[in-house]
Amino acid sequence: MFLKHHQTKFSILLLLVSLAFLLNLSLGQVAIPFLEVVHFILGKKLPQETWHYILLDFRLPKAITALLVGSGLSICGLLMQTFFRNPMAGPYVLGLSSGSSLGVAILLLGSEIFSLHYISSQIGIATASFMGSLFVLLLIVLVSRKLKDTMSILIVGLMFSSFTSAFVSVLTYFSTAEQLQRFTFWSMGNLANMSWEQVLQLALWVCSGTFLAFLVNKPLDALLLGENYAKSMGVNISKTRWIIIFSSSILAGSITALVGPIAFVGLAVPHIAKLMFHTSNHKVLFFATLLLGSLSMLICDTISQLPGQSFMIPINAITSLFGAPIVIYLLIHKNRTW
Amino acid sequence: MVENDIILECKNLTIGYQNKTKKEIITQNINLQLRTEKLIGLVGVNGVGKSTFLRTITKMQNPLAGDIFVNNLSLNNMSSRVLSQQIASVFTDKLPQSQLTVYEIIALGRQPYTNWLGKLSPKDIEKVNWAIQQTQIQDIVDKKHNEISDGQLQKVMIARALAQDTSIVVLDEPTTHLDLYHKVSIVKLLKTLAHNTQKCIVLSTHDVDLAIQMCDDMIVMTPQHIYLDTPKNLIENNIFDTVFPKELISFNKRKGKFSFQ
Repeated sequence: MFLKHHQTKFSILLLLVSLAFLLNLSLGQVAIPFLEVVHFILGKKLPQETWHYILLDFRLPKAITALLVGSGLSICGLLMQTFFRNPMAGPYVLGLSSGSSLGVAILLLGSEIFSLHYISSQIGIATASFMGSLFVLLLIVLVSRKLKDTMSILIVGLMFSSFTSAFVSVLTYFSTAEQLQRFTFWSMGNLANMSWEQVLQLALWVCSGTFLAFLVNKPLDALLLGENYAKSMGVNISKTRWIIIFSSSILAGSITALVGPIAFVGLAVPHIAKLMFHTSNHKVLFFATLLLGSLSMLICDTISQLPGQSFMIPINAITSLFGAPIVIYLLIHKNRTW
Repeated sequence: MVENDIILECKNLTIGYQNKTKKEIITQNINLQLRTEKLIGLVGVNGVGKSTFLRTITKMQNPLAGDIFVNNLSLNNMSSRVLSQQIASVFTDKLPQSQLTVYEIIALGRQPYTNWLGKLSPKDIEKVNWAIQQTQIQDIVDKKHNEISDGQLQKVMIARALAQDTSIVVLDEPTTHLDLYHKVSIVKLLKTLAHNTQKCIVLSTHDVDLAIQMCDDMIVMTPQHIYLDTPKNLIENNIFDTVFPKELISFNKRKGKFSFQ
């Protein structure tokens, strides 16, 4: 009933996501005509062999990665905002990404100090990142149960970010130039250079995290009235809490592991969805956030590859450049949006 | 006189708080039977344990000893879903910020009955509309919850509890922050609902005069004892004299009101 109500908006969004996806494939260092991209998607042969190669091995995995990263981080933000009753919550703000960074930093930079020697393996990075974000989330949940004040949760996230950066600077002091370079590149965020195998891995994680998130739409609606009301309406709070914790850590952890920490998407997109659909109904917001997350990440990625230029701006810089003003705008108009 | 059915029963109930190191007992040996079709007012001074009592009978916290039975079923072994079909609550909590409309809030009351997606069936929608009609808030159903007054919000939360379709409704201080007119209209609404829908409605309140005039039964909590009776009997037995410390406030039996020294 609620979804039907918003049919037009969803159709427009779906169209925009498809357009952005094709545009993302078509633009880049080498511009490939839009029509040829459509031909490629339809499985037809392209006039130039190199175009086919660029699209299949480079741009398509990148565009799919953008799609997955955008939707995954935004869903994570939506979960956390309702669960912590805090409009400023998100995987980056609450320090989940910092937790991931800490995990990866220990692995990449501290391999000699802590004698970890499986540093080059992707699985190692993914595990470290997941553990890092899970650790921070558990910490936040612990604090949020002790202190009812939602503000203090943000402060914990903030403190953890500073702790991480301080810890990383100490580690950099003891690490080699090569290790440092690897970590720096990772921390700037990079959607490119994903092999198909890695894309598949990411897709698997994001899909399972998103599926878990979908399961808690109903209890999240009840939580909009606060924990007491939710409980009185039969919501199993601790079960819901664990599903949310696992879902968010899987999403934030896997995404951060494979493409690096991405700022602001998880925070800003759920708000854009709430602003656009004027609702708090999680069934509507879930799909809206999914689509808007994909859309914004595709757009950010298209901008970051600077059409026609031979170099790229780090994706994290783009999301921050656009995300920060949006968040400030939302803060100023806060009474209207949530 | 025909007695109504017993819907909630406390047997040797001890309420209070327990943490790792110590037990803090608030009231011991509570034995009460609450019946259907009654509006029951719960009064007592601040800190005597009204909220703790309400939180215990709604299973928001566990009793330190004793048993509570709802519809002859022990609260201990009741799943949260079954419990939510028996007892609905209205809390004093401020609602977190959201864009929920009045209609959506009331519809959330159907959660104990909906599937895992929360889809409303025709019967659910019927119940929601019935709750809206009972509380007479048809004019505001499309408004967001932060656009209405405190008095209206209280009615909305009562409608939500009605939509939950339970035999017991528990309200924690529903008349606080309201002016006299809205206080009376809320309590009057609750009384009508209790009588028309065969519910047992329990409300805690500091408006003792109002409760004496409007409630069918009253629970009076004092540090030593907990009494349940009709307001008339409670007055005759001088129970209200024990509610407040005597040096400032005493109960005037003739007027049925408190007077100040």
